[in-house]
Amino acid sequence: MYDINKVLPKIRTVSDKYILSLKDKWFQDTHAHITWKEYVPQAQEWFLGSKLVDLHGTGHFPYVDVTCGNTQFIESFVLKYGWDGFQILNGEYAYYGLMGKHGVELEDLEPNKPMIVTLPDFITGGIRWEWNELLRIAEDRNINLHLDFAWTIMARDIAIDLTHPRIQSFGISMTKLSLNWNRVGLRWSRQRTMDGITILNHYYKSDINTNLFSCGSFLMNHIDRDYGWNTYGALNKDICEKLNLKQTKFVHCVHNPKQDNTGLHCITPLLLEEHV
Amino acid sequence: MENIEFQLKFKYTYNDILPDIRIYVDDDLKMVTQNEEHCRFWHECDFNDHVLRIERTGKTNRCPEQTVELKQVIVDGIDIRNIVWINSYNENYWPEPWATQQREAGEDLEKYTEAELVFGHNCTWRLPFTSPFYNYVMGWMLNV
Repeated sequence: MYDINKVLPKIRTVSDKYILSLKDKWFQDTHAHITWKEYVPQAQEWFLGSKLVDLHGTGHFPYVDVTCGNTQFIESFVLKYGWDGFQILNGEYAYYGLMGKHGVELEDLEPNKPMIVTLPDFITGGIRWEWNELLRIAEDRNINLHLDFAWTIMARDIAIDLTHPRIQSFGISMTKLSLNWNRVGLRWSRQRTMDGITILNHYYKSDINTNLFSCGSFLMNHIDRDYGWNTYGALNKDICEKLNLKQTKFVHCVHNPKQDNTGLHCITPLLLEEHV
Repeated sequence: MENIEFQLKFKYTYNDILPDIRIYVDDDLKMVTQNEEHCRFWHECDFNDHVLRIERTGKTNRCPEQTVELKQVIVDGIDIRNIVWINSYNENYWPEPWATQQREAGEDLEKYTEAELVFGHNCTWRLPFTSPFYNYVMGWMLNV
């Protein structure tokens, strides 16, 4: 029987033995040097190759840049628009709050001010309940949307229509696969603009950050895009059934109806303990 | 194609007669103003050569105190001051009869002035650029 006391409110990534072994392998073995030019198409295919997450309309985003994870996606955006030049909704990524940026309710969104939206979110463990209303407001108020898909890497049953004209960019990263030691991702843009990521990617054509691409490529060669659910899906289901927990879109996060049906709870300790 | 935001900031000095400002991208008239200090508009640019153009008129011999100064040009969120200082140019329309008098006195009045941002008399200011704009800025930066 699973220990309910190991279902915790603090969210942890699933750093299992296999993922950790890849880190050892990377540092102990020698590897091919992968260039930016080689890495970008491989990473695109990998990130968009999920069978569990459907991002519809990626063809509207022809400009693809490498990021050092989605935090750089955010920081580059902030560099462009300024800390007061963008907005977020309530219940967003803690990074904003730690830096003194607070979210607003839908009705308080300012016209003509771009925003970042994290999808899936940390409350529902899925797509924000007000997503469709947000799209309508964005259209009415001319608010450009930039989507932080950092957690899609651990999600399933997510379908997002990116053809909405207000969606301007989105970013995905490998980081949440417990790969913080090599934060690497991609940003897709409907229209490329001058910002930190654009400048760096211009220089990536020479031998800059080659280690990042080489390691990213190595990891993609060894990790299935849907590794989380493919590896832990059955265990997740069993834990939820036995402990009367409610599944979310995240393999490592659940709702605990007995405690709080809105906040996420983490089953990573149980996944790591029980996985053979 | 890309949809680019343009922001132009002006300072106007006049007694009682306002200047006339018409702002174009290529042949598209984007704004007509007389005293708006902050002009903002969007333009769909194909990936090609373009020109941002300001036609400044309204100065006559009846209104000697009238000056327009282009204080700032922001394109796609970038203050392109250094580009403006090097790549923009002004087509001068010298006032009469002063211009004729100057020429008769042997002065060579230049038809174009580089990077002139204080429009004392009627003129047409131009800034050629290419789209995609980020690429233009990048190219400019690397070639300076």
